Amino acid sequence: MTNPPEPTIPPPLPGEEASWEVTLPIGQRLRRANLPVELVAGVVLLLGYCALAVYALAAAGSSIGDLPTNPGWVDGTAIGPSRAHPFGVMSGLGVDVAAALVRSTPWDVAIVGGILVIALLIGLFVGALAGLYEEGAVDLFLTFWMDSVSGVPPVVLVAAVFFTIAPHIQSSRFLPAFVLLFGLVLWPYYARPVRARARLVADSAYVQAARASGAGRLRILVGHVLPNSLGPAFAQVPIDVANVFFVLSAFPFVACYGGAETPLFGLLSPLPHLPFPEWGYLLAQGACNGTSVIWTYNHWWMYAFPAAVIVLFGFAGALTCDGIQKTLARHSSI
Amino acid sequence: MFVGDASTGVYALDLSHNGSVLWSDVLPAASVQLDVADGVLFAGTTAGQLLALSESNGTSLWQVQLNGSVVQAVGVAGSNVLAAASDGYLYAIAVASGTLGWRTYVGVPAGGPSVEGGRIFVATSSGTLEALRTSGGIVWTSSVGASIATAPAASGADVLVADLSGNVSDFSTSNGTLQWRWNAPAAGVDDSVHATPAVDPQRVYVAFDSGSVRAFNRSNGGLLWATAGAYSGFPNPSAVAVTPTGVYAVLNGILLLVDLNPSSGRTLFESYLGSFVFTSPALVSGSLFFGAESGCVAAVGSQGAFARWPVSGTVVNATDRAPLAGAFVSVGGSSTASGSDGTFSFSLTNGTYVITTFLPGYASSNTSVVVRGPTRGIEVRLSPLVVYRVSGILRDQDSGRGLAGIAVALAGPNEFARNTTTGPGGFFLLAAPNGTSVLTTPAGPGYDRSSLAIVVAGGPVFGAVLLAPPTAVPTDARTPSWLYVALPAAALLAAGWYAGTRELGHRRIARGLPPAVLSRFSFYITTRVLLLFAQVAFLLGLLYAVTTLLPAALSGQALCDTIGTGCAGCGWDDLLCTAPLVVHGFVGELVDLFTFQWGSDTLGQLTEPTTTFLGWWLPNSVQLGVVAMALAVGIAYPAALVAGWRQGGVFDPAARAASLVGLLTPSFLLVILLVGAVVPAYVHAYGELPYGLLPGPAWFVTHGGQPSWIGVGYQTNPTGFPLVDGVVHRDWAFEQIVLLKTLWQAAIIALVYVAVFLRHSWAVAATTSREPQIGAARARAIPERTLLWRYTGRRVLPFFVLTFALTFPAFLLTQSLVESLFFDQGVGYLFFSDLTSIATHPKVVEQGGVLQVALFLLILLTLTVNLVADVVARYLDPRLRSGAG
Repeated sequence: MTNPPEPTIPPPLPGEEASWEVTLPIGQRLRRANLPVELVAGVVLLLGYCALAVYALAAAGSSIGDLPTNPGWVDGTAIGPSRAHPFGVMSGLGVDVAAALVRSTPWDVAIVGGILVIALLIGLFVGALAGLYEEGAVDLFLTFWMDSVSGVPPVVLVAAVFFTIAPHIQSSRFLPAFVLLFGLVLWPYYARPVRARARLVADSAYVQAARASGAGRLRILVGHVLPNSLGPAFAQVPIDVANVFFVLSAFPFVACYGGAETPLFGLLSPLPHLPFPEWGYLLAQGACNGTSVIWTYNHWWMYAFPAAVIVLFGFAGALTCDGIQKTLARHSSI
Repeated sequence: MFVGDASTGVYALDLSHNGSVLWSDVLPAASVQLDVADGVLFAGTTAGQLLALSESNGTSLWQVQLNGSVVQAVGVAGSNVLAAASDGYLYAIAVASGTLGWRTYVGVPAGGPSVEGGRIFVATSSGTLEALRTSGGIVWTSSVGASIATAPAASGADVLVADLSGNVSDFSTSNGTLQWRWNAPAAGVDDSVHATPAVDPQRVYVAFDSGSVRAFNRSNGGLLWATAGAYSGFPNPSAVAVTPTGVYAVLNGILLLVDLNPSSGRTLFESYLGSFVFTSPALVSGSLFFGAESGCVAAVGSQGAFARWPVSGTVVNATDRAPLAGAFVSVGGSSTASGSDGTFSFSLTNGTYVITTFLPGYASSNTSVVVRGPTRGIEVRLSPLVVYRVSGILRDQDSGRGLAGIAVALAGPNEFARNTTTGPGGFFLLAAPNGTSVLTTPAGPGYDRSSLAIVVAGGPVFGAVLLAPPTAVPTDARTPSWLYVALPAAALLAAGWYAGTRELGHRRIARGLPPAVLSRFSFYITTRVLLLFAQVAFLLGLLYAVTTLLPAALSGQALCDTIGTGCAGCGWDDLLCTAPLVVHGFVGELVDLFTFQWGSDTLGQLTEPTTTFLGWWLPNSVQLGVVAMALAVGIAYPAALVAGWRQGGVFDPAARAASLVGLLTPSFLLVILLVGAVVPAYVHAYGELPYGLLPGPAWFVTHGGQPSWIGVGYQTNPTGFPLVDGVVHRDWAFEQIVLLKTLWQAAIIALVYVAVFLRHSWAVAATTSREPQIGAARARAIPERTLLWRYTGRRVLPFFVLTFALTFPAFLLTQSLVESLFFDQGVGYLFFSDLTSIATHPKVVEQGGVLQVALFLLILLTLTVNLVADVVARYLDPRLRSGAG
């Protein structure tokens, strides 16, 4: 089989390419790039969250790790959303919901971001490697590891492992350890779809062409296989955002809801100290203090707003990932 | 006394015989309102009937039909019975004959009529108070200026009305002039009044819906006191009643009975009634009666039953009357210790009690005491135990040599205890009272614990011989040693088999036969099954390493403490010493797991072998899981297919967005909101809480008791599946509840799971709908419906099976969560409750711990489901089956 002759492109005139790049305003360039609407919406939302995080960091300064609690609200009567408290006040914890959510933003963005970066970095690399060298050592290891680890829900695995080692590490290292552990548990879920895709990419004409033209293994992996195999991995992102927030909120919820019957559940938190500004923790406290079988006492704002912030964050992630997937699918061919 | 229930029953209770039911009857319509006069019981119904029943046996005397439903109560004035009906008329009907005496239009009544001093008073919901003569004419009308929702209280020259704005008004009975009025400081929802005020000669008591009780000066309306309100609970009416001994309130219709001091409002006593109370208490011959939602009627005596009297006494030695300090004294559930002068005191209500007294070295005593008021000077006499000499020798069990310098403890009856140390030759001397005593020596250097029971029968015991077993080298009987041979042998056999089949394959090819005896598909299944065990072992090894070894290493514990297979006492840095121990411990664990040696578990009051728990509750979980799975598949399969098929339509983004929201909202929040939505309705419909999979104990109390085919673990017999067993025993009421609870919980599980499933399966349907054969079929003018359900449906089915396997852990997690939040008797609840015990037991993978077993079962189940799904998907899809995919 002979490779098709490469189309000859005339060399650009001096300064031509540069001037094209410079003269086109950024708005037009984006429009010309024809990005999917999901990607734009998702990135805008995520940038909004990041801006909020930066604002919170700047506004809170060194007290970023403390919830702005007010003892007067702890046992007080329910204060619903109003002009002074746009998201209402959470009794029990005694915080203004909006202020607490803003204070939490940098932490949650960092937790979720850290976990996803670790999982994606390992998962993409190992997945691409396994797909490229089918039935090689990495592939066999990944397949076996993935098949085995999928026997336990990642949430249970993280909870079981983290909460057994937690008593032995300093509480200030809880969050980094939690992020690292979660990333390590999740990476196979990214490697598997990448591997499936990379198997197809590895057989494609352009990879064979690169191989024939003497490209090194690393260059084929990083330059050809990896970029063309990332797409399917992104479908997993929203599921893992949900998993992360499940662990962060379910255990504090049971600790609060069970009260005296589950006193030790309070220990099952990856947060360095309690109370701590973190969305999942706020949701747990809100669901615990705000829900009631009697409608009059069902203070919806205590749990609806934290839940909405989490859902919107996951939604932004999902939109971005769907957009990335679409963009990658548009530019890649097998 | 007479009680009507929420359906159509009316019951007569005998108050002099513990409230036993004298007779009961069924009326033609619901909601009975009762009153009694001259041996006749009147009942008004929502359907507008007024019935007269014989008080003694419930036979119907007469019945008349009114135009509206009978609003609240029926009062008797003279020879007439009064009924306020919703058509706005007050009817007076002759008690003897049931003929209409007169009727007067008063407006829609807020409650029943109140009769005092030859006048009839009716409050209307529009806020007027009407006073009528007993002959029916209206004497006067006054208005309170707010809606009223309860009957007025008429007493002497006053008629009192509390309204929904929280105002209390006192009118003169003679001409309706307002005597005084108390205006609510800030009218709110919580401060309305739904209960008739209670009146005594000096005060008026009003229970507000906030749970606050206020007392007013009856002559001028001055506020005397108010109890703290803001009792958050059910927003149901509070009620208050006056008895000769005090003022009692039911706050917010909930549970709490409060005994108030009439002059100060101070709470004297609080009692939880154990059930919801929706109606006002009734005062009959000095006792208060509450109709509780559990269907029980509770009576509170007024003869000081709630008063607690001081009861005190002294514990003395029966021989010399010297006071005894430190004796344990207990009465009726509470206990104390006697002081240095031997005195003790309790506070008790009226009744007969047994004071149990106990002091080591004395015979315990039971003293009976009758409390009818303050009781002092009770003398409890304790007889000292007579002790006898107990002597003997402690010997080495193997050599028979006497052992000196070892502690010997004697534990006798009544916590009699003595200690000593063996002297030369192992001799010891102790004392013990009559009865059985146990001699023990602790485990010490070189010797294990030893014990001996002796019986003292009125004389000394000589020559008791205690045998101390020398400490043996720790051996582990649990792990069969043959494993060390069997495992390498199995590995060798597998390698040999692999090489052999290869060789055989070459020979078969040489003869022109297919290379393998097994087809490619069969070979795939075989390898996957063999791999399953390797995967289970691998995963358990991973968990073992991370959750058992890592914490032990981090905390620097000795290895022997962690694994429990004996202690070599080597440190973590000595790999040659620790490695065999680690392997030994892990292999032992695997053997335990695969041979059903699963230890025992505790949940609530039950401590049972883990296998027993699983035997009881696995069917419950399986039943719930199967129903939930059926519901989930029924929703998710068509939804994913249609959403993936019609991309760009409305259904597709809507379904995807809904599934994303469902996925991202933590499932416990969804579950708790969905649970909360049904609790009030369910409680009203069935009189119990909607938790568990079976009806609760309260339900059984009102339905003939717990049947014999439901066991201690609340498991049903004979099959264990509650739905099946209900049918087997033809208990349809039971079946209905179980079906309702199962369906409801299954629906919640399905709802959460469908969100997860859709997220995965949507893309498959979307990809398939773009495949060339679909386009080709469409070109052949095959209808879209056929394309969707037959072509695409069949094509995506294998992938849906794989998706199912992929999301199966999420399903199990959701079911466990739902089981836990519903407190179901299920494996998921067991698993979650054990997951919570991590904090108490830092070792997750613990020998015999049920969490370890649960993780093992979870892993085995999920991997098996994965395997089956892979095999089924391959079988369904010919392309995969041939090995092309």
